[in-house]
Amino acid sequence: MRHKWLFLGLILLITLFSGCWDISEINRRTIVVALGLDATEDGKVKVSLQIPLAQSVSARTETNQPPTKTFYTITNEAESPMAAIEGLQSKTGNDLFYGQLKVVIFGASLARNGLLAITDFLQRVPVLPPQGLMLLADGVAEEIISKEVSSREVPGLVILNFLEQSAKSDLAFPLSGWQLVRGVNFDTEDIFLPVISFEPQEETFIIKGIGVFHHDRLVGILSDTETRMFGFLTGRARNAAPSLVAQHSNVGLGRVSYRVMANTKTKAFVDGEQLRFLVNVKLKGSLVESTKAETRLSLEEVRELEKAAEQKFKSEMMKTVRHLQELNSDVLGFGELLRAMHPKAYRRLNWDREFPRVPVQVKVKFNLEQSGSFR
Amino acid sequence: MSKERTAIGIWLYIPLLIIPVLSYGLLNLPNYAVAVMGANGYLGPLLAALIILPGLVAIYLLARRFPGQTIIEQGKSILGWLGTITGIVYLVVNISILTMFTRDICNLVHAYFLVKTPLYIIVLVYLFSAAYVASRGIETIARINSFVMLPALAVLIFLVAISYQNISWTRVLPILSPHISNYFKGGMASVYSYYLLGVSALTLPFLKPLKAFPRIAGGSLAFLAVFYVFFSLCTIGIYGHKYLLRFGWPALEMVHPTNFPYLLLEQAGLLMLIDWIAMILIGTGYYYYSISLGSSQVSRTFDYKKWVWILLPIKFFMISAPHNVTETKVVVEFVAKFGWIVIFAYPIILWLIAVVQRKRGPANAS
Repeated sequence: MRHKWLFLGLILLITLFSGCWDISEINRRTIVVALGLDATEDGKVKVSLQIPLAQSVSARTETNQPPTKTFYTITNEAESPMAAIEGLQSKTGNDLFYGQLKVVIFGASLARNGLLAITDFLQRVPVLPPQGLMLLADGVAEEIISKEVSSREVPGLVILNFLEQSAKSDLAFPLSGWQLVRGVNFDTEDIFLPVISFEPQEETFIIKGIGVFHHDRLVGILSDTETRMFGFLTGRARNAAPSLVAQHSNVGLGRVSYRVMANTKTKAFVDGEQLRFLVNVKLKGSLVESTKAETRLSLEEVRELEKAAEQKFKSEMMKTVRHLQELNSDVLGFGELLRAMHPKAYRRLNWDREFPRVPVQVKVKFNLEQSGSFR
Repeated sequence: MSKERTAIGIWLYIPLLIIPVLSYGLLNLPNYAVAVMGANGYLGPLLAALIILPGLVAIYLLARRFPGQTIIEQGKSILGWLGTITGIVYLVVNISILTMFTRDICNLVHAYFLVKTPLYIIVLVYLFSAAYVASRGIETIARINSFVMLPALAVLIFLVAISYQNISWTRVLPILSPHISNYFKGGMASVYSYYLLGVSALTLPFLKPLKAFPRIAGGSLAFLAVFYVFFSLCTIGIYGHKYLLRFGWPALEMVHPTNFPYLLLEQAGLLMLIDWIAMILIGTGYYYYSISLGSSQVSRTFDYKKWVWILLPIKFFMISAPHNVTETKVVVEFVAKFGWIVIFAYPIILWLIAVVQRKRGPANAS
């Protein structure tokens, strides 16, 4: 009998546990998908949030009609990002929910001032997903955040889809929030961010090129070609699409285009006080276009094509390395390699001063695996 | 005081040597070793496994010399009244380890999951759950551990394996530390990750046959050491040894960046937390039981079940004592740094005294 009463008491206790302190109903949440950060002229930080209009998106699915607007933006200025974010709470009726934050865009002027202090909150606040993708605006982040795209999809998700597709990893290399925060705290390796801009005529985003940093400050932007060479030099290129004129060969293929994958190994050599780096780039790819429509290639002709590509790529890669050295941006990770392989030499040197003048040699081997003739 | 009369076979005892140890060990791994050894801090757990071996051997030799006795009873048999005092010290240190590590995990739940829920509610729910598990006795605890072991380990190993995609091997280099003394220091800094293996000193009398202990303890130790090394390699390889030190719970941060786009559980961190908290709860139940059993033997009043509930308010106040995460981390580091003196050195000292004084327990006591 005693146990029955105890059991009944426990059952009744359940009525007291109808919820918890941390409950936040989904219809009471304002979901943030993209966040922009800009520097203001008076030294403050401006935060812009992109918030999808859930009803509008669902109406589109039901009626198959494109909605007029898929999102809205809210902004706030304060002395720091978190202060600005807290201020944004008062601009919405619901709880701002950052669990689905997919994209963070930094304004160029803010990035030039340094991201160390600005990105600190990304690591500290557990509700912010560390996988959110980081981008650099080619100008003001708020302008990117507030732009509607021609497909009338939620822009933050369009950017996310773009960067998550491996087929597009040629002119921009995605970087997650945790990688950015780790990178700005590293003293042996510099970071980069993919650059995003808006094309007003076609109402679309263009994601190409990377902004390179020295420690936490933006010091330059790499061009399309340099970004592709950066992909080769770091082994990040999985589906690069270089195009060149095979003018030095006798094959006469006109302009040729390739699909290329890179496998790169970098070595550091220390000989007494002398330091040098060797970047060994192995490329393999396929010929996807020849403007002279040549289909039958002999072994010698393939070899000539490979040689021409090797020379061209090597020359472009050397230019990219020199540009990075001029900018003093060690995005290639030479400093980290030196620390790992030659810790004594690394401790002896002032890497910030050494990197711009360190001799770098690039070796390129291109293997044309498919000429596209047998399709 | 009624004595628990039960026996555990080899396959039920093995999970007690793995799940509780792993759950507590992962809390701060590999930060303590990395702070000393830098990029090759992943060697710390391997060296720690060698350091604790004499302690484990002493626990086994004592159990053979004093069949059916826990370390508390062995202490009394060997040292007399002094053994009661050392037994109390042994239990106080173990309660401190249990409470501070429990507070650490409660802080983690508070920081990541239940931000608005008052901490004392999390602590109370956690403590009552662990107390309930502890009050069910060693056999039930062993069966729960056995039930959980395979799925929990499968999830953990899977998470470590997929986290390797984010690793950069240059971050775990150079392989050799320039200062040889760092190896010993790094090993000592990682000894805490095996503390719950030392709790065998309180539960070994239940293992049948006792002679299986060296085999299963050795195997478990080897498994744990290898797992810890891979785990540490992965964590250091992802974040680098300097940046890693900023994390309160590096184990969680290791899997945090990994996600499965568009799948049910997008974030691996959540999966890790669920798995880990389940392991810690069961591990704490085992530790709680062992301490309660020791308390009943040192006091000779009440059985372990009553001690489970007597200790509950004491543990609650001890867990609530640190004011914040930083204070908790300082105390956790302190008990992690010096706990080995009681957990692994005390059995060695007891065994040496027993050998010198030629003391043995009654042969038919088991």
